[in-house]
Amino acid sequence: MTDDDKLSKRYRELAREEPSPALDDAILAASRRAVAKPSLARRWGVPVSIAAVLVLAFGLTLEMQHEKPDVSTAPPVSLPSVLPPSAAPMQAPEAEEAPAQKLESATSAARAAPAPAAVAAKPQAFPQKKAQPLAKERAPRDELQAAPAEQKISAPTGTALQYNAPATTAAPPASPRADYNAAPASPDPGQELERIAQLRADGNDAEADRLLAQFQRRYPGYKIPDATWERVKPR
Amino acid sequence: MAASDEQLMLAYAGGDARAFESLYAKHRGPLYRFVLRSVKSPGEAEELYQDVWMRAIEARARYSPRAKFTTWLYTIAHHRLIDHWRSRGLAVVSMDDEDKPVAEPAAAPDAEPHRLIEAQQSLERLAAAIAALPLVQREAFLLHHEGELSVAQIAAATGVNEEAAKSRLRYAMNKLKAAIGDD
Repeated sequence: MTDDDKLSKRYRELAREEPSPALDDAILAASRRAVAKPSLARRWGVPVSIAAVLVLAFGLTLEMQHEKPDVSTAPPVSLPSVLPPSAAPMQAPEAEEAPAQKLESATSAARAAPAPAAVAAKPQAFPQKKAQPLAKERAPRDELQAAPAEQKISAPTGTALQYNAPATTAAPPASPRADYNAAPASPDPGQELERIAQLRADGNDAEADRLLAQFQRRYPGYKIPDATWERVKPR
Repeated sequence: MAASDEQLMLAYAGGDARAFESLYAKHRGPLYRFVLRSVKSPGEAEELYQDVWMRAIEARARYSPRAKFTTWLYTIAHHRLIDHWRSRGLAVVSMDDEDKPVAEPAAAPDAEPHRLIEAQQSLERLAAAIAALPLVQREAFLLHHEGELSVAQIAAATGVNEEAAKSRLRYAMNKLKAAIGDD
């Protein structure tokens, strides 16, 4: 037996201490817990909870949509019917106040009257959209004021352009724009022609010639009826 | 044919709790004595011993049978002991005085090896000589005699090269043989 073997033999003769049974139990229990399969409740608990929350949220959303319909889905005509009669044109006077004042200063009261009336007729159908079309109406008016007079006059009648249309021609314009702003011409070519014919009849040919020339500048494509032409033509 | 330690550990990692019970029954005593004779205090030994097994349980999924199971298990124990010694301010490396000449165990005056061997050849004196070994030499000796690790496995478990492991084991053996009077 070598010395190493003797040492090993002596060592094995030492006390053979071992861990306590309680320590063994604790370690073995921990080893079993580590590999134990989760119970059915623990395995499905989280997925079932998530599914329940989703279903609940979906149901609540549906319920809220049924109880409180969206404004966009409500019929637009129903809102004015709920409001009192004085509230229906609530925005119209404010929105039309400025154009109305403008009309009064630029045109006669008689011509200004139909404009608010026409605009006010729209809010009764779509009151929530009143401000937007009015703003759109103002925009072409502003453009009209900045545009040359010939373009404004040639604009089709019956539109918002009529708000600023001149009622009468008071004085000969220095320029088309100045003429338009200072002495608006009659929107009706027939009336102008009638006025020219009256001047002819009165023997005021100079004024009739001047207005005829002015008429032809304003309405370069206007076809004067033959009978009228005979009455207004230069002599 | 009984399953090897490595197969048992793989089975446990796969969820077989009984495989761990077999492993534990086989290694509980040697590992406990390895820890107990490393720290000397039964209370600390039980705490460290349980920690080692807990770490093995937690690391079951990462276990790979590239080395013997005992090498893996005692590597965990080695790291746990290192932590223990460091927590008490003990410098493990500085205790490695293997380059010094073989000396008598630094035991109490009444633990003088010749007197102990001549008196009764008491096994308790051998235990005292073991306790007097430097940490790394005692560890190498215990790994060899309790864990039945070879020099190469001791080197792997303690993170040193084989020469260092062999030197530590040789110094420890020489000191203990001298202590029991068989040198």
